[in-house]
Amino acid sequence: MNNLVIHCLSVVLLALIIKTEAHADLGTVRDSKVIEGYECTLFSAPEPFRAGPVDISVMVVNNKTGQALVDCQIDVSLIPTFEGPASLQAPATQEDAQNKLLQAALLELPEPGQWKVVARITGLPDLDQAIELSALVDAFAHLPRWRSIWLWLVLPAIALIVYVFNQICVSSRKQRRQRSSAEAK
Amino acid sequence: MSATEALMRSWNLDVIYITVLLIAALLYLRGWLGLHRQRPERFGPVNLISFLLGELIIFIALCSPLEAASSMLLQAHMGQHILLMLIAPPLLWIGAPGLPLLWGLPPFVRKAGIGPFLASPGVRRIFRVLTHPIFTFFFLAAVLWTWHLPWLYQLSLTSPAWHQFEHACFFWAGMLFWYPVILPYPAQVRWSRWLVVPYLLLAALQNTIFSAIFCFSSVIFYPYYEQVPNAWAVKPLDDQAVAGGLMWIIGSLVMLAPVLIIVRGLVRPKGLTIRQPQAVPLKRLGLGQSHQLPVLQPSAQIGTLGGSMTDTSAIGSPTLRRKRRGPFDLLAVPVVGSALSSLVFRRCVQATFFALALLIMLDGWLGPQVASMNLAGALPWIHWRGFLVIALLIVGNLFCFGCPFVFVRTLGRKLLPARFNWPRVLRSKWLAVGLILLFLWAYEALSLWASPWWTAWIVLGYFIAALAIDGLFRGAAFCKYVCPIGQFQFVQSVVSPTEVRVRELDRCTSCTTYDCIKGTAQKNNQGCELHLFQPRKKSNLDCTFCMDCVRACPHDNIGILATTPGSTLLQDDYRSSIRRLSRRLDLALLALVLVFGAFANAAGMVGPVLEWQDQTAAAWGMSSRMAVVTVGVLASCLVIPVVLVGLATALSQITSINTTPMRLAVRMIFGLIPMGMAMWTCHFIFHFLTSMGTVVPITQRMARDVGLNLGEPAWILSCCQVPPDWLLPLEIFILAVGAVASSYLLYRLALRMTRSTRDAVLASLPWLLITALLYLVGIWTMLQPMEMRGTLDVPLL
Ligand code: SF4
Ligand code: SF4
Repeated sequence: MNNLVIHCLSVVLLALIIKTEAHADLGTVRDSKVIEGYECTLFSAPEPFRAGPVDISVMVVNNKTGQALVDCQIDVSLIPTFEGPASLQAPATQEDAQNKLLQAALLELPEPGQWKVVARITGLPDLDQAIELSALVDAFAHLPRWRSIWLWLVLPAIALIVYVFNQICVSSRKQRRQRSSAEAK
Repeated sequence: MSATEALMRSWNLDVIYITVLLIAALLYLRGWLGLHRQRPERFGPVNLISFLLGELIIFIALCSPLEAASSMLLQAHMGQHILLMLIAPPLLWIGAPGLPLLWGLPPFVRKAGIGPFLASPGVRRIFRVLTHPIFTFFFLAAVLWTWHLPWLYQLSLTSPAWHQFEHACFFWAGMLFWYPVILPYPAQVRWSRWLVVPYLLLAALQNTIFSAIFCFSSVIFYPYYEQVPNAWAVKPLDDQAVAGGLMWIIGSLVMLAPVLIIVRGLVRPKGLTIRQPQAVPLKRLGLGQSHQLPVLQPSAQIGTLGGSMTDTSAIGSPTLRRKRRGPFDLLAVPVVGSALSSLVFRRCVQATFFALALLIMLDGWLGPQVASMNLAGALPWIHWRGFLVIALLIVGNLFCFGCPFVFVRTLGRKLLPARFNWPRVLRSKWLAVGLILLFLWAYEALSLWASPWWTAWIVLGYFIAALAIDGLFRGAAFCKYVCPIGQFQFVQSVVSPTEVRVRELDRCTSCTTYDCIKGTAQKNNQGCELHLFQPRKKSNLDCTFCMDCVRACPHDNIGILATTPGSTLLQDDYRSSIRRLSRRLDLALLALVLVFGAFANAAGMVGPVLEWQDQTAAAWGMSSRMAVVTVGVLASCLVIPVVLVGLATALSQITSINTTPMRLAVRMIFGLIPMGMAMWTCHFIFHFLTSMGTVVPITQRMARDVGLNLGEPAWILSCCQVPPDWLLPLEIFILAVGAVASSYLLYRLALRMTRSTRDAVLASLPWLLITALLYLVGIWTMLQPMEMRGTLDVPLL
C-alpha cells in the first residue's frame, strides 16, 4: 500500500509536468464585429503573443436569440507581413476549443514578427455574406526551450535544499534531545 | 446550441487539478480509515464527508463550466472566488485533514521526511504566526482587495498563469482565515473562543464594504468584460452589481453562521470550562521523539466546528499506533498473483515471446531492409526496450520472467546433458562487462537499430548461446554470468519497487528443508538456479523473477514484496550468492559501464554528436565512423568513468573514510545506478512514445506478404511523428528524479563510511559532482535534435 501511495505521488508529479500547454481561456480580444445581429469576436493566445503554439479562437453569438453558434465554417489564417515564412491556415472547430462557446484553431507560429490574423466566418443562418475578422499582431520570439522547462531543470536543486533543511531539523532535534537529557541528569 | 448549453459542455478537466484532488482524497481516505478504526468518535463520517465535499467544491470552482464562464461574466468569476475562499476551506478544515493526510503517507515519508519539519520549533513558530487571527484576517483582506485592483484583475483574465496564481492566493488566504475559526483537530486553543466573534464580524464588515462598492458603482472596473461578447445579454455594469451582490450575501451568510454556532456552544454551561491544552508526543504519531504537538482537551473544543470532537486522550496512546501490516505483496493480488506464480502461465508468456522472436528473425532475414518497415527494426528497438524500462519501474525484472531464451534452453535441456559446473574463473561479471561493452560498440558501429538483418542474427545468436551454455552447464549460468540483457535487468532492477523476498523471516529460521534453494523432487522443482537463498537474499540482483523459489517453498513464505527502490544498496551485509557488495569490483564495473553507457548510447543519436563523429573521422582521414565510434564507446563507457571514479575516490580520501579506497569506490558506484536508469528510461521511452505506431503498418505489411489481408499498411503511423509537448518535461523530470535519488544514495553511503556529517558531505561531494555532470549531459542530450529512429523519413502514402 505504501508503494501504491508513492506511485500515486509520483503520478501527481508526472501530471504536473505532462500537462500540455494551456489552451486560451478566450485570450486577448483582437477584433469584434456585429453584422446582422451576429456578434463575432476574434481572440488570440498566449499573451504576450509568441512564436510557437498559438490558439486563435472565434466566438459567434446571435444577439437576437442568445444562441452561441459553434458549428460555423471558420477558416483561420496567419499571414506574415514580412518576407520568409509561408502563411498558415487551419479550420477553427469547437473540438479544439476548451471553452465550448468558441471555435478554436491551434497553430504553430514558426517565426516572430508581425502577423495578420484573419478569421473568415461563413455558413451563418440567414446570412449570405461571409464575416471577416482580422488584426495585426506582433509576435515575440519563441521562448528558448529551457525557459519552458527551467522549473524541471532546477528540481534536483530544490530537492537538495529541502533535504538540507530536513537534515538541519534532524540534527537540531538531536541537539535539543541531548541538551534536555543532560539537564535531566 | 444555446449559449448555456455550449457552456455546460466546457469542462476544464485539467490533469493537474484532478490528479492532485484524487491523490489528496486517497491519502485522506487511507489515513482516515486507519484513524477511524482506532478513534471512530474523533474521526467520524462527518469529517470524511466534509473533506470530500471541500474537494468537490474545489473541483467545481476550477474544472466545471464555471471556469469557462468566468472569462465572460464577472459574477461567474466571483462565484469561483467565493467557492475557493469561503466554502471549500471551512469544509476541508472540518475534515481535520492534518492527521489523516499524515497517516495516509508511507511511514518513512512521514517519519524521516515530514516528521523533522513538523517537530522543528522554527517551522512551528512560522505556523503559529501564519495562523494567528490578526495575520489571517489582514492577509485575507489584503488578498481580496489587491487582486480586485483593475490592472491586476485584468492581468489574470488574459494570462492563464496569473489566473491560476490568483486562485491559489484566494484558496490559501481562505485556508488561513478559517483555521482559527474551525480549529481543526489537533489544533490548540490559544485565545478565548469569544475572540472568534469579533473576528468574523469584522471580516463580514469588510466583505460588506467590498461588495457594496461593486454593487453600487457606476464605473465598470474591468473593461475586459466590456470587450468580450456576452451571450446572455447581461450588461457589464449589471454583471458587476450581481457579482458584488453574490459576494455580499454568500460572504455574510458564511461568516455570520459560524458566529451563531460558536456563541451557542460557548454559552452552554459545560462549555465554559476551558482546560489547559495537553500535548501529544510526536513520537507516538511516528513523527519524532520528544516534541509535542499540542492537542485540545474535550471541553476546550466546545464551540469549534471541527466535527465530532470529544476526547483526544487516545490519540497519544499506543493503541493509535498503526498495527504493523506486511508490505504490499504482488503475489497476494487475486488473479495477478496466481498467474505470476503459475508455471503454466510463465510458459505461455515465454512461448508468446518465443513466437515473436521467431517472427522477428524471419522478417529480419526475409523482409525489407528498412528498420521502420521491418519487425526486426521496430519490435526489439522500440517496443521491447520501452517495455523493459516500464516493467522495471512499475514492478521489476518482468522480461526475465517471460524470457524466450530460457524457454528454448529449458526445452533443450531435456536432450542435453547440463551436468558440468560453470568454470570457477568465470563465476563473476567480468565476462558480462566485456559483452556489454561489445554490444554498446556494435550498436553504434554496426547501426544495429537500423539493420533488421543484423538484429535477426543477434536474436538467433542469443538462442544458440543460451542453449549451448545451459545445455552443458548446471544451473542458470547463461543468465547469471553471460546474458547482457540479464545483467542490464539485474542492475537496473535494484531501483524497482518490488522484489522477490521472504514474507516472514521467522518462518525460515524454523525451516529445515530449504526447498527454495535445494528444490523439491515432488514438485519437480530445482530451487533457485541462480543460487539465491531466500532468507539471505537482498535486492533483485541476479534474480530473474522466475518464481521457482515461490513454487518450491512449502510454507508459501515468498512473495513479490514492495520495497523502497534502491534502499538495499545502502546495506553491505552478506548477500546470498552475491556476497558483500563492497567486495564485488566486477559488479561495480558492470554498474559503472551501464550508467555511463546510458549516456553514451543516448548521445549517439543526437545531431551534434553524429556531426562530430563525421568531422573527426574526416580529420583522421577515414571514410567511415567505425574507428571514431570504437574510441568514443571505449572512452565514454570505460576510460572516462574509471578516471572519474578514481579521481572521486582520491578526493573522498581527504576526509576520514573508514574503509579502503577500493571498497569506497565500489560502494559509491552503486549509488550512481538511479542516474543511469533515469537516462535509459528517457532514451527508451522517447523511442517508444514517438514510434510505437510503427508496429501497425509493419504487421499489415507482413500479413500482406503471407497473403492475409489486414488492409493497406498505414505507413503514416511510422512516419513524421512529432514528439508530444509533454515528452521533454517528462524526460527532464525523470532525469531529475534519477539525479536526486543518486545524490541521496551517495550521501547516505558516505555517511555510513565516515564519522561525521561534515565528513560525509565532503566525501560525497566529488560523487555528487559526477552525478551533476551526468545530469547536465543528459539534459543537453535531451535538448538536441534527435535522430527519429524507427520512423520513416518520407511518408509512403
Ligand atoms: S523461503 Fe521457504 S523454503 Fe526457503 S528457507 Fe524460507 S521457509 Fe524454507
Ligand atoms: S530468487 Fe531465484 S528462484 Fe526466486 S525468482 Fe529469483 S531467480 Fe527465481
